[in-house]
Amino acid sequence: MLGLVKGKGYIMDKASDMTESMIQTTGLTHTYSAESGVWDLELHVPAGAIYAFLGPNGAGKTTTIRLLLGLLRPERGQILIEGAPRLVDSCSVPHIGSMVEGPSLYPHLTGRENLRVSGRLLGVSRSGIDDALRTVGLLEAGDKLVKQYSLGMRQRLGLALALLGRPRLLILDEPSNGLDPPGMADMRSLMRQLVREAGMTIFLSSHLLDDIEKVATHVGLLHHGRLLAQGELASLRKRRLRVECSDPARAMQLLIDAGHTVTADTDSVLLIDAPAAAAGVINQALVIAGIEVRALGSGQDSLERFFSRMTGEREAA
Amino acid sequence: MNTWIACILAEHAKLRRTLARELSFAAPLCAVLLSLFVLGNLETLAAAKGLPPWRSYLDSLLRIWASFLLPMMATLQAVLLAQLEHANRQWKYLLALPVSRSSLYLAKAVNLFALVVLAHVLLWLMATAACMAAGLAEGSVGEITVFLARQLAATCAATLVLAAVQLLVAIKIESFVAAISIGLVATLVALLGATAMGTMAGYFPWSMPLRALQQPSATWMLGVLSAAAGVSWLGALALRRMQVR
Repeated sequence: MLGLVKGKGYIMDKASDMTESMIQTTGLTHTYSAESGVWDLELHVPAGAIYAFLGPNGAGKTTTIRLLLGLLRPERGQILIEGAPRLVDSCSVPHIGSMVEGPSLYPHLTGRENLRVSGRLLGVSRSGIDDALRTVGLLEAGDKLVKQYSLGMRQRLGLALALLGRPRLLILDEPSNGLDPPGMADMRSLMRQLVREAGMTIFLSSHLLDDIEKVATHVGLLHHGRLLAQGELASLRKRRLRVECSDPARAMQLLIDAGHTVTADTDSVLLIDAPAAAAGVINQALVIAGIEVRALGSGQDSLERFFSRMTGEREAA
Repeated sequence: MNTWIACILAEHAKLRRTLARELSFAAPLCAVLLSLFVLGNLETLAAAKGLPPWRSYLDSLLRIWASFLLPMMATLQAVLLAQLEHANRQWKYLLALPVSRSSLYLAKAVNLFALVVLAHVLLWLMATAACMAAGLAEGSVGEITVFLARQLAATCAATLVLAAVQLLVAIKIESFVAAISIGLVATLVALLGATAMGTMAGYFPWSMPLRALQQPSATWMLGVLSAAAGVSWLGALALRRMQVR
């Protein structure tokens, strides 16, 4: 799995690692009531991925994360972390760096002291603590009491705690909470760097779909406690043709009759589930029918559209 | 073993700037300050009991300490130590670390016991100083220090059960007020119901410090220490089974 150790970080052999699972669950189930919980989750998070775990509020994201971290016991199913079965005792699996529902900090201690508490448990040296502070840009503020930190600083310190001990897997729940736009950009950049240079795998949940879209390589979509879809982000988002024309109602009927799946985006724009190669044929059909085509282009669904398409379809069903 | 020591040191590091640590100084100081009221009536008190004045003074001081201040201090310290994790939503981070939960719990218990020991050492120093300052120690310094050391060692050991039970309660009950209330009610029961409890008072954790002042048997003391170890082990099992919802 590990290719070589370079300096203080790990460099991974990406070609082989992306095919291996960092997290694999089978039939993972934990319920609070008949409507609340997660059921039969079959998660597959490849090593070296940035896996975004999406879902509406109450979908079961945090429950899943707590199961992965051993904070909750599954009623059924199994969790494998790097092939090792997760038992209640956290020592059963490799160290996982985590930040769940905001950072866990002692406000009466300084940032550095907070890291030192965890550092003692993980056997991290003082220089390792400085490295973590430097990585999240808090080296200067390390000796300030945490109760004097801003929300964004606390979030970054929470990330530094998660990075202590150089875990190979990071599980982050809403890591961008409290960060301003430059802070969010820094967070995305750091995540990419951790995957690229330190060989980490990142499993994160977030409500900020635009933010996720910029950083995730893989996506899992949870809805009402069940996994609706997962896979590489690029392959999950549909490729669509976008047509702007003079008579969208007639154009829509014409294209549906021709066997296409068509939805109206705005009053004059239609979205057609078809590859870019079909653009010429569709253009010709519309022009022959006397419909003026003002614009025709190809593109992928945004993550937001993918999200609403998947959750909306399921609700309609 | 190294993991366990690391857990104890990590737990110790969390105590910086906490009320839990300051209580180990404040509680004995309160006991000594309250005991100063006895000095005005000391001659009469000592004559009535047929004891030297220093002994009568220290008996009063130790009763103030063991009956109320010590149980309340240990209760507060146990709850404050548990609240370090409850209030700051630490369990979800702490219990996800690759460290055995038993070690985490026992390290917390060891630090709590250490705070109780620290308070007793400080009380030993403060009480001796108070005797000297009040002019009670002339020619009796040796006797005073030995008497105090013996009595405080007994109350210290007897408090470990109370501390262990209170820590278990405070870890299981997330509410600060509820956890404190249990300790406060139990202390009042021990204080007001000691006579009614009779010999059973020796088995009620909150009465044990006071009972320890009456020259308890070695068997009783061994039982007390075993109970403290047993309750701490139960606490470690409880943490192992704890789910963070």
